[in-house]
Amino acid sequence: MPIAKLKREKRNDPLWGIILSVIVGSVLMVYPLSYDISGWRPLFMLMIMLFWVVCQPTWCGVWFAFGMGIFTDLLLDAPLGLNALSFVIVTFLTRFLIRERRILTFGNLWTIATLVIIAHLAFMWVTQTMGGIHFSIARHWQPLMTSIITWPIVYYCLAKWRI
Amino acid sequence: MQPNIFSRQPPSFRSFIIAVITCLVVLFFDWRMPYVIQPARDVLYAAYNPIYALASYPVLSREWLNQQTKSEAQLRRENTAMQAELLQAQVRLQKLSELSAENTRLRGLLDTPLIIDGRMEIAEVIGTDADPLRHIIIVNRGSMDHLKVGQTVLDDKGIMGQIINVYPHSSRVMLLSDKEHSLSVRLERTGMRAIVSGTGDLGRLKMEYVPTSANIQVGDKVFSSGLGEHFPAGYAVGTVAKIRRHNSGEFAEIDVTPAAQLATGHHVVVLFSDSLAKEQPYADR
Repeated sequence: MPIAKLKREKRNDPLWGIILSVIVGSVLMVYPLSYDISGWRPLFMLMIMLFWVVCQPTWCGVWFAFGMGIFTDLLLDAPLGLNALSFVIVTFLTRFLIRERRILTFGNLWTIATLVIIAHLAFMWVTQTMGGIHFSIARHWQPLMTSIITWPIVYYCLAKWRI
Repeated sequence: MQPNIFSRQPPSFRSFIIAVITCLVVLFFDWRMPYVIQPARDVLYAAYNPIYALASYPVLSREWLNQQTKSEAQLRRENTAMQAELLQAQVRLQKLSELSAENTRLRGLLDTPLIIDGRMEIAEVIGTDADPLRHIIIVNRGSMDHLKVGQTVLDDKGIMGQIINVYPHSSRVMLLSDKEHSLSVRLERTGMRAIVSGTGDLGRLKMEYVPTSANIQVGDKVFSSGLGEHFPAGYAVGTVAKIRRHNSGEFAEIDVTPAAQLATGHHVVVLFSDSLAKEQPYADR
C-alpha cells in the first residue's frame, strides 16, 4: 500500500522522484535538435517508465505506463494511444516474465531495458507499417543504440529511489 | 520482503486488459473522430507550454552567451554585413509606393457599396483556364480558406461569376460571360425579371426570353434578383447595351454589358453570405 510506504522513511518516498523524472524526461524528449541528430534521441520516456515500473512496482504499474504513454503521445504529436499501447504491453510482459526471479542487479536491469527497448521499437515499427506511415527504417532503429548506452545514466540518476 | 511486493503476486491481468482496451478506444477515437480528441489536445498543449519553454531555454541561453562573448572583430564583421543588408532593405523600400497603390486599390474593393453584409475573402486572380473557349479564371484561395463550390465572386463593380471547383489552395471561377453560365436578374427601373447568359464574349452578355413588347430601354441597369437562391440579390450585373426587336421572333435580342471587369480584374472578392439570396435590398425601387 502506498500509504504504508509513505509512513516509512521519507527519504525513500519516490513521488517527487517520479514527478521530477517525468518532467526532465519530457524536456529531453522535446529539446530542440537538428533533424539528423534528433534521430538519435534516446527513448527517455520509455526508460524512465521502465525504471519505475521495475524498481518501484508498488507505486507504478500498468496504469502508470498508460499515463506515460498518453503523455508521450501528446508530447510528440503521435497518434493518441499508440505509445500508450506499446508501453502497456511491454510493461505487462516485463512484469509477467520477471515475476518469479526479481534479481535486479545492474546488469540484469540493463538486459531487461535492452529487450524492452527492442520490443517497443519493434511494436512501433509494426504498427506504423500497418498504418501505412512511411519512414526510414535506419532512422527508426537509431534510438536503440543510444537508448542502450543511455540506460546506465538514467539508472544512476534514479537509483536513489529504487527499492 | 514486503508482502505486497509484486514479485510474489501474479500480475494483474484485469488492469492490463482494461488498459489495452482503453488504448485501443483512444486510438480509434483519434483515428475516426479527431474532433473529439482535439479539445483535450489543445488544453494539454497549453499545459505543455512550460515544458517546451524549459526545453528551449538552453538554446536561448546559448544565444545570450554568444552575444556576451563576441570579440571586436566579430562585431566589426557583423556591422559590415548589417550595413549591406540595410542597403538592400532601402532598395526594397522603393517598391513601397507600388505596394501602397495596391493597398489603395484593395481598400476600394473593401469599401465598395456592393458588399452589404457577410464575410468575404479577397482573392487574387492567378491564372486562366487552359481552354480558350471557356471563361474560367483561377484564384489563389481554396478549401484551406473555407471556399466552397457555388460561392459568388465579385469585384468592385459587380458580379464576376461563381466558384465551380475548389482545390486546397486555389479555385476555379466561371465568369458570367462563359457560354454555359446563366443567372437570374431583375431590371432596376421596372423590376422585370429575366435571365442573363454568357455569350463567350467577355464584353457582352445576352438577356434571354424577354418578349419583344417588354418595357426595356438601352441603359437600364441590371441587378441580380436572387431568385433560384444561387446568387445573392442586389448586386450589379451590367447595363443594357443594345435591343433588337425582330418582328419574326417572339423574343427580343438584348445585349448587356457586364459591370464587372471580367477581362481585366485582378483582385476579386468571394462572398460567404448565402443567406443574402433571400434578401431583396433594392426591392423598394
